[in-house]
Amino acid sequence: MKKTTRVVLWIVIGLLIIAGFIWWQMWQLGRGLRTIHADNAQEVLLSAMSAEVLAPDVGGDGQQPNTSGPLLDQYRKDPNLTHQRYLLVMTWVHASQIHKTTDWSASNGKMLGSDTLTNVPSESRVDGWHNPFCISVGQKQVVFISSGGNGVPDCSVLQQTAGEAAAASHDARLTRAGKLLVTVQSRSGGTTALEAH
Amino acid sequence: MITGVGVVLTGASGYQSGGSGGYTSIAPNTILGVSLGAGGALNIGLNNPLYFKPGGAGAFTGAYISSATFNNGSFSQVSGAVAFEGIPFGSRYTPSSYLANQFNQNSSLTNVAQLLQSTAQLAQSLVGCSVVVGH
Repeated sequence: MKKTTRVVLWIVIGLLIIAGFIWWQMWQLGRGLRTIHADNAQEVLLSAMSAEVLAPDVGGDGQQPNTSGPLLDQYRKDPNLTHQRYLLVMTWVHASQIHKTTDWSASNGKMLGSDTLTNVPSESRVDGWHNPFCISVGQKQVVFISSGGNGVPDCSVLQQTAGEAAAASHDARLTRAGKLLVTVQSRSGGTTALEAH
Repeated sequence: MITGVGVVLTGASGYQSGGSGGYTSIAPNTILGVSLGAGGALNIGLNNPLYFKPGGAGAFTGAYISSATFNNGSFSQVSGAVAFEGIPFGSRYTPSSYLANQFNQNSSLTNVAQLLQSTAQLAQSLVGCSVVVGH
């Protein structure tokens, strides 16, 4: 074998090794990117929306202990707090999704359990703790009541709570009514009138 | 109307997490922006790109990710750069079809983006101002 041929052969072998290494590295990176589990990121990102969708009395103001400062510092300090805030945001999201996808015209004046609304996907029919909502349908507003993680609420005794919440409501953010959580959504435009903030 | 949330993600110490799934690093004082653009597209951006490197022996190559746009169930654009031992090939802020393609094959990422987009769209009707700055 000529010297030139040997040199060319070694160059080709070297290039093949480099190409193989690059391919292997890109394969590993691709596999890593395709298998990232975003569950924790989901909780952190959704909890970041709490300032917009939660009223101050349920932690929407960011003034409670461990709820100020950079988001990932909060998560590192107290992951359970981030999780609780995520559950509250998901409660508001599911109530809003139910409201948006349901025609309330045949339900005026009724108190419903969200588990009866078969037009809504089953995973959206529940609050953050996977309990159904009690829904009071008024002429102008729809009141969603969650037990806040305290089991399935008894809708038959919540009509007065719903009425008081509707009367006191300023916007559709999730707020507290005793141990219950409430969001009052407007039937005219998806949410009630807003206070500037 | 555009709705946007700006969130301070990291403080002076930044954020690092590692495990068998990979290593993630976010630089100190990073701010995350989430907004809805034209047609309800979800835009997510970071002022300092996030660095991800897969786990496993012999993984020297990672990726910087600075922004992503999600609409109609998939990532239409992901900006970032592939990096070898943290050294990026090219700008970390230019669109990468390779990264978008990998993201679109990860159902966990597309599900999170879909949920975030739905939440932002619902919140858009709640907030009356064009830009909201979070905490």
